[in-house]
Amino acid sequence: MKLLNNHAKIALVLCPTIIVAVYFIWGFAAYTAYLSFSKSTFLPNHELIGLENYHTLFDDIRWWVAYANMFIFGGLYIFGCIIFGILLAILLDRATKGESLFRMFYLYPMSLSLVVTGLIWQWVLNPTSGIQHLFRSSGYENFKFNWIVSQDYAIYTIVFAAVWHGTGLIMILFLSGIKSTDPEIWKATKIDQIPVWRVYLNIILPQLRAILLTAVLLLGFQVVRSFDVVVALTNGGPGYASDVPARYVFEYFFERGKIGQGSAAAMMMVTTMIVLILPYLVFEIRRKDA
Amino acid sequence: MHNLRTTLKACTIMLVSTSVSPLFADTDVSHNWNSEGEAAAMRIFREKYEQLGGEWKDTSFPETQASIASVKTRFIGGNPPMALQSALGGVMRDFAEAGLLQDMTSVAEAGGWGANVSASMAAVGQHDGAWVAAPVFIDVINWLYTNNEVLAGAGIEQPNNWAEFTASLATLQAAGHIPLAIGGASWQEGILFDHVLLGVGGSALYDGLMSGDAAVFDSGQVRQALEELANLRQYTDEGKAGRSWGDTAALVSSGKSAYFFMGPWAAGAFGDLGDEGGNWSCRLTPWDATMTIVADGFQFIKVDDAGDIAAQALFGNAVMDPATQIAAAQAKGTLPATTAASASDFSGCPAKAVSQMSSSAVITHWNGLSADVGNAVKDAVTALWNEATDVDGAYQMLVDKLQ
Repeated sequence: MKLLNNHAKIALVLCPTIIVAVYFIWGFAAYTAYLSFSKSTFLPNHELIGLENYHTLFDDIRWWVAYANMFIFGGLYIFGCIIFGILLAILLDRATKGESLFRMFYLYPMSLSLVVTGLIWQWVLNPTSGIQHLFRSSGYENFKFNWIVSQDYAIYTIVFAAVWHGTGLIMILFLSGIKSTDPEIWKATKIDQIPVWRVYLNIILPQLRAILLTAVLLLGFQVVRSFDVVVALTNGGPGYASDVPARYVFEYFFERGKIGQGSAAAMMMVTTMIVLILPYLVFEIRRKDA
Repeated sequence: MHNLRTTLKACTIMLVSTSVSPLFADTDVSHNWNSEGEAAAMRIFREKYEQLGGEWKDTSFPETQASIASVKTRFIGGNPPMALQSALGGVMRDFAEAGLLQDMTSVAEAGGWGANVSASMAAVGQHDGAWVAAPVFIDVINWLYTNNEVLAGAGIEQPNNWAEFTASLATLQAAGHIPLAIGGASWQEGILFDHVLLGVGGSALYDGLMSGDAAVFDSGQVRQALEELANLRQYTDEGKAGRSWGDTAALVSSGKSAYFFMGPWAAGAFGDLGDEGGNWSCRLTPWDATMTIVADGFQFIKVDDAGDIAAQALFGNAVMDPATQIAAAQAKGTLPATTAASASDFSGCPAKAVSQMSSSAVITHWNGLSADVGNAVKDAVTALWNEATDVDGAYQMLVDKLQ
């Protein structure tokens, strides 16, 4: 029964993945790039019109609000998840009792979908039903917490919800890293009487650079594709104050019948991502090689 | 190198051997009629269709945008539904111009569709002289719902003009109510703006703005309407952001709020308050004899299979049957496209609309115009309403997009 040699078997097994990856990821990405230069409106149209879609996009005030929001949201989300994730990981590492209980506790938000997360936080943050209502009905008449309906602060409420959701994963990543450091380090630092926080800050965390890179990349992708949490929490509102590029692209592509402009916006997202991530990747890879 | 070549070879073989199987059109109807009344209306169309010999299949979506997007995707994929329920007008023009719609003229002529409906509804169902859609309902959008207990409690009469309406808002607020109930979507804000436009300049201003008439911009009425709109914001509550129209209607039915501007679909939310005219009322914008309408109906999607085309003809004749349209409109609580209907066929809000039809200016709502017009209105209104821009900014947005 030796119909196929080993190479052919491996090739056969790999093929579906390769075809799917090339066609559905790179093929579609290339097609989107093409459409962004085309006259497509309601349906794809292959007549090229140069940079016109990009001109329309750059003239649209809504796009710039959404684009800026990606950076506000992204920066705070990545920073927040990593800081809280590391702190929780260290606390769990220190905990002598109940580690598994707390680990489950912090990881629990991860098991919820972002849509559910968004809905829960919408209830909590809505001034007429959530925190503000709770405080006011218990006597603090002047208590004010209405960020979710505020033109200037709505985007930060999305950060709350997303950090609450994402911290658990980052905590687990760092916790596994901290646990796998050499126990001899602890013995040595104990003899030298180095304070515990300095051991973490100057010895253990610097060893976890690879985990930090993983965390930043994982969270970075979440930022660019953030869509569900925004739709569930604010749906881009009030007005379009908390819009994000992914939602903008979806709306122009599917609801407004402006496929060309939507594709141009999608290309802007990809380009931004490449510009931001590439130097970091190159830096880390060089470091590893060296 | 050898590995790579083997892999490429295997991939090619795999691709070639996957024959592309032919796709069949499903003779289904794509729609978003899910609420109780809408589902009952669809059931009546379905029964008529089955009675004529059709086999019913449908695909339903929570909202019309999802349904429309799905039909586009399925058309490109070669497996479209036979019909799409949607507002007719701008969306239909886009579909027709993109070549997605079936020419139903021969079926329509044989079935006497043109004779069943008014000339304006017949025009709505046609594109470049060819029937491509069946107009079945006329949705009159500009309703004012009031909670009469709340009004009476604050000592306020039903407002009959714009000045009375705006003057009553402060009194209601002082009495501890949310004067004006509104939710948090740009289309809801757009509906509020409809009533402001009718209050400031009547149907002439409304139609002039939507058609980009320079005269209405020069008259200063557009700017005045935007100022009036911004002034209404203080009479709403903080919870409006992101709120659905259903939750907003509940504010009025539960007695927290007094006024609510919404389309005919909201009437069902007041059933707990008893009959219309008692504790609650629905009125067409009381300060101007105008009806802003959107035709609702079925667009026929281009299909090639003879069986699918036959099914389409059956379905078209089923939904264009006057008696069926009237029964379905009664179930949905709206008006049928057919001229065979009279006010005695209806009760409550739709009866009011039928009886006022002849004395009102009937104009097309922005949702029935091209998507660009509707989006221009919604974008400017939502930016102003949510304080992303001021009156000047919103005015400039309207000038740029409409004039």
